Amino acid sequence: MKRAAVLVILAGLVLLLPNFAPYDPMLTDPINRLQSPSLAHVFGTDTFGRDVFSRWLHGGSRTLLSAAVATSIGAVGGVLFGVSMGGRFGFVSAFSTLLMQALLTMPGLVTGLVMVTLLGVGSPSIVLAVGLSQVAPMSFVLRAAVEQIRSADYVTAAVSAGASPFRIARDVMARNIAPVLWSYVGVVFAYCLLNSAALSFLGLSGDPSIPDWGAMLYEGRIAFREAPLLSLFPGAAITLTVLLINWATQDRLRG
Amino acid sequence: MRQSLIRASFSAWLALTLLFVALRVLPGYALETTLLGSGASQRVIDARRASLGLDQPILVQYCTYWVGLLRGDFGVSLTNGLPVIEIIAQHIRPTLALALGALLVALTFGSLVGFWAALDHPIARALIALSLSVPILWTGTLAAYIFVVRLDWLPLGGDDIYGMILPVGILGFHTSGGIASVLAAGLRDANSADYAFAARVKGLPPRRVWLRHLLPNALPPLVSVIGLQFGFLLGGVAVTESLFARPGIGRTLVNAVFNQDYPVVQGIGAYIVLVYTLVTLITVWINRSIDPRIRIDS
Repeated sequence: MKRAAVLVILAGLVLLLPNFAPYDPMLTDPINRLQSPSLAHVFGTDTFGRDVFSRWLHGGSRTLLSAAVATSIGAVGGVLFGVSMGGRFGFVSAFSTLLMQALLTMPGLVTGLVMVTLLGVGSPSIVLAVGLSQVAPMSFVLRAAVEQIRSADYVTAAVSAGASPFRIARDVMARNIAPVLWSYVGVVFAYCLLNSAALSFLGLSGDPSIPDWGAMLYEGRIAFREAPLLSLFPGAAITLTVLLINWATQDRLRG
Repeated sequence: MRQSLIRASFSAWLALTLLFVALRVLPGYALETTLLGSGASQRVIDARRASLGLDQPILVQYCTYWVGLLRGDFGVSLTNGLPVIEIIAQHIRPTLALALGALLVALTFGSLVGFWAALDHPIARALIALSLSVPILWTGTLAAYIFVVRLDWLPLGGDDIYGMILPVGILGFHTSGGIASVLAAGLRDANSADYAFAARVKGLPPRRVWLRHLLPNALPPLVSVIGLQFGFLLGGVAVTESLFARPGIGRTLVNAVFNQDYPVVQGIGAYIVLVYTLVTLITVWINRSIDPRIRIDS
């Protein structure tokens, strides 16, 4: 219930946020640069005189959508490799385990950096790199779940009742793995959001004028002496989103 | 122990091979396409390929790569022509100081908060949540504004002790959350076990129950998570060094990624793989020596 609500809220934010933007987020106005918050510019203006509130709204939609796409990449890859590691598929299982163990010898953010080197600077490569670097951690969580459930009595019962392997996989295993999967997807989403913000912050998103919370923090870092507020809004938004996700998935993990 | 050593070496070998494929083989093709499209003469293209070793068959390149790795030769930077190993040697000292300092802060702060959170104190739980959910780039920028611009207590960069306080403190704080939450969970589990009850019934003072009876049982997962947090630290170094403009491995890596300087990324990546594998092995070894159950199981 909690998780469904958070999912709806996030999807709503992605779709609706840009509609409330009072200005064009790319429109520069050098005369009114670095203004404090006012009625005309609720969050003030940035180094190029762009309206921070509009950029924050458009950037939020973009950032959340990127994190969601990266999460899907990580989740699909993690499920594929996790199931092939946990199942009895002979050579395929052994190969997947070796590959995933090798990927885990590198911290997630470093894997992301290596992939961005290969794919080139830009936000699509950040999304791909961040998503792919979550495949290995996700696959190990899934393998543990598959192995645990495989030895459960109700699976043995289904096998001895003569259910086909496909039926067991779909009706017995998948249904019991789903809770673990969904709560870990939340964790992956939080990592994707933080890591893609980190990569954008390092200036790897290519064009920082395209609004994005990480890129806004990058611009805020440059002007942090005169305009600390530039960093305040995108940073607070990322923090609140991650806290929201953690709150929604926490009880499952403790469970 | 021998088994985990073999498994770790195998993973490291495969990871280094993947690095070779990702940063030598695939970019090699990309580089050739760019060269062919640039309209340079065939002679120039051939010379460039030969200087990068791309004219050799893949297998020969792979062998050269491994011989180089074993001799500590990671190749030459594409941007400034310096040997990669020299670049690493030049930048390792500030990174080592930052990482070890942050690890020390994380251990001290994480243990204190972990004990506090085991008693279910809301402030301790809030500290853990903040450490895990606030992006490090944001805390860093805010702390720099407060302590450097507003209060003028600390310098922004600098290699002396004052310049280290902010980066070490911030990286340490964000590394501490994982340590504290695992310690708290372990202590809470131990606290609900029968031996905790027995120790209390015997009339032992609470301090002795927590430190001598509960803490040892919470240690093995704690050691494992410290190993994992070391990985987080290696990634966090890249962000922290860029944030505070410190000349270290992390910032060098980010610049190399920016310039698509494949040999430098490959060299630093290989270095990180080796260090992280070693740290993981050490945690396995520590856990075996403190927990007799693990020794018996394997």
